[in-house]
Amino acid sequence: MSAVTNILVTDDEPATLKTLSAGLEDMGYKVTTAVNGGEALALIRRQPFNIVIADIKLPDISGLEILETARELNPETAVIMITGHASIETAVDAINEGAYAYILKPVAMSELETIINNALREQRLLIENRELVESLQQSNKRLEKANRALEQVSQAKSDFMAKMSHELRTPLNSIIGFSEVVLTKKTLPLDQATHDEFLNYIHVSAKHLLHLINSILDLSKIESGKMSLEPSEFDLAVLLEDVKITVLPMLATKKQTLEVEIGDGIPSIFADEAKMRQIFLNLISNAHKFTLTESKIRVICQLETPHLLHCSVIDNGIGISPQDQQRIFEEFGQVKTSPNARRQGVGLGLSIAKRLVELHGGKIWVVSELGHGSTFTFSIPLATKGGA
Amino acid sequence: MPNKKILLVEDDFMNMRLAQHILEVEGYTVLKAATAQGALEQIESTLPDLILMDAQLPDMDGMTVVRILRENAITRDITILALTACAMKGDRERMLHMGCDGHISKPIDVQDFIDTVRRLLSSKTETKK
Repeated sequence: MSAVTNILVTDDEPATLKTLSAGLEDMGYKVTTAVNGGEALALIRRQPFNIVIADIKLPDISGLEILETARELNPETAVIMITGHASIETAVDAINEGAYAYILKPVAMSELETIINNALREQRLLIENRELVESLQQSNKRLEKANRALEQVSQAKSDFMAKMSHELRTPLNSIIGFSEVVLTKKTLPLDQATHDEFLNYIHVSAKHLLHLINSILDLSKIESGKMSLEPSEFDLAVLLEDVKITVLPMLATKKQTLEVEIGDGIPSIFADEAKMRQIFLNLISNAHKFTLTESKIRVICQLETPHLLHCSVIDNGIGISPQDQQRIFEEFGQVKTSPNARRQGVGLGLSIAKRLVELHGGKIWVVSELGHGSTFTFSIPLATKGGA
Repeated sequence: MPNKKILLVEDDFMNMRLAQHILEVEGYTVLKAATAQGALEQIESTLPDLILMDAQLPDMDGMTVVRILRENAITRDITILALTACAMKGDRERMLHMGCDGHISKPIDVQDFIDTVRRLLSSKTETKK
């Protein structure tokens, strides 16, 4: 309700109406008058009033009808009934129906002023109360929302712990089991070839476990916000040449080749070189795993806009189905394509790459079709030394 | 325990090799499947005495395979030992509830593994008599 106090006065006696109206205006209220019930109802329907003062006996309708309509349209409206001694029982009924007060004729202005002041104070309290309840409900909603978000985070952490436990136990099973077999003499003595085979499994599993632990530590560092960017200025071509030298032995095991194309006009980059290197290594390593032998892996870097670098790692491997594309960037979201896919990696490479890209303020995505290869692209905003 | 057939359903090559070695040394005949599909294809024809079932297979949840076996009159009574790398609270209960006769978690203890297999096979023989 507005700051101005709107009062509607309804009385069929012009003299009374005039006295009341003048007295109320003197008190600083905005007064509207009505000479009968019909007029009063029309006014009430048109605009809200803080206070409605009505004679209980009107020529056309009962004051009770005004009371009912006023309260129905605006429950906070205080309705004050004016009554003579003859109709005092009706006035008591009106109080029971929700009228704020009644006042006897002839109306004493000082008494009316007190009633109005009390009514307005109560009204303010009601409004304040309602606002408080609304604000509490809103905070409650916000808290519930925050709580749901926390529950989701907590669930995600539990899921991650469960998956991690699974991933750690798999190589541990080989290490503990095979070493026990090798060490226990009560089983059949192992021939030299089997002995060496089992030792090799222990070695491979231990290395796998180390790789897994390192990846988990990386991820946890990024997650806890402890990994910060250490940007420096470097030449993308030099970085990629270095990456190429690193991955060639790995690619050679599947007779794969790597082709690097760097578009024109790429300035020297100001970014975290070690992390950029890791992003490329993870994506190329991913392409290597999911691509057949003797295939070509391509890296293409070009400026999308003068301030945005796009780098793609393209393979013509097995591809990723649309539903799997949703989760390959999740931790341990690796798609199990063959029985031994797990041995090919720990399932954290893409997840780490995604986080490193995001740390740079960029995005990563994949375009792929089953059987037709995948293209992983990441964007990096090109910051300049000393600011964006 | 001569000539008992055990089917290993396990997608991890090394874990499969380990279980195979341990069981063969114990004198069992070992059959292998690396996928749920591969397992289902040979179970009816070979009718192993015990199935060692990994809970996570590339093509299907191991427990789904257990359900399929339990619903089939021919394979309903085959002893199933769940082998899982999950060791979270409640996993074991879940496995047994799903119809497995036993559960062991990775990393396995070799002697415990041998004992569990032996116990499950002999208890099944007794009930059949």
